Amino acid sequence: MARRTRLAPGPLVPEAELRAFLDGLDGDGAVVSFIGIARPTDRDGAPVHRLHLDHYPGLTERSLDEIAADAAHRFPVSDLLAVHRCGDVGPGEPIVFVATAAPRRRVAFLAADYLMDRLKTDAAFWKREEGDNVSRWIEPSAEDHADRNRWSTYAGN
Amino acid sequence: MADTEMMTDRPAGARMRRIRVLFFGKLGDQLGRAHEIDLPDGPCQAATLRHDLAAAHAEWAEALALPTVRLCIDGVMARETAMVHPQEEIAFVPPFSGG
Repeated sequence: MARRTRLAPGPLVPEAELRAFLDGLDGDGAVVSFIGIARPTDRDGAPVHRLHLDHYPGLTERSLDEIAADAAHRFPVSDLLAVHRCGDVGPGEPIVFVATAAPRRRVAFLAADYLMDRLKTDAAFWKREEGDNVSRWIEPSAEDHADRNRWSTYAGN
Repeated sequence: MADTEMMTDRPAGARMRRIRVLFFGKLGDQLGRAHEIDLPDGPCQAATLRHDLAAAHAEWAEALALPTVRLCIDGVMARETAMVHPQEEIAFVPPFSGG
């Protein structure tokens, strides 16, 4: 079982991450990957020129490790990778990448879904949208919390 | 002498210690990222430290009163009942927003 997480201060290249992930597999039949991309507009449709991701060195890396460990504990994945950007991210740039591998697809899908729901609310980042003469700190939405909480009643694992 | 009395109103041997207080996310923008604060030496409970810092820094009081603003000791999320010791780094963190 390979479980890796990484904080990326520079550009995140999903193709390279996926290639390396695939090269490390050993007989799995299913891989699921997810790429989160910085949106060019905010909730109200106003342009966002840059996202800034604040982090706390140490706490942030540990939060990524804990989320990955929880995912691996809940779902019998063979391999798991989560890479998260920090610092400044431009619109259209990847901000998060997760990949999961398992002998069969259902577990891989579930583990990736779970990872993303946890990353949205429990990864130690603070996100600021910078637009035309405005900047705004983002907090998890009610939907983000609902997405995370559905796993507490999920009976599958 | 009266002057001497006033200067020694702390118990004999009491010392001050300097702790580092960090704010992240929105709080970092509003209150400044890093501060060096002098406090009476010795361990205290996290909740007490939060209260003392709010009392000493009026501009921090509103943020420190928020239950959603969590406290970290040396980079680890801590309960309000945890003990804070000299030399430890304190951070106040608003709700996370990753992904």
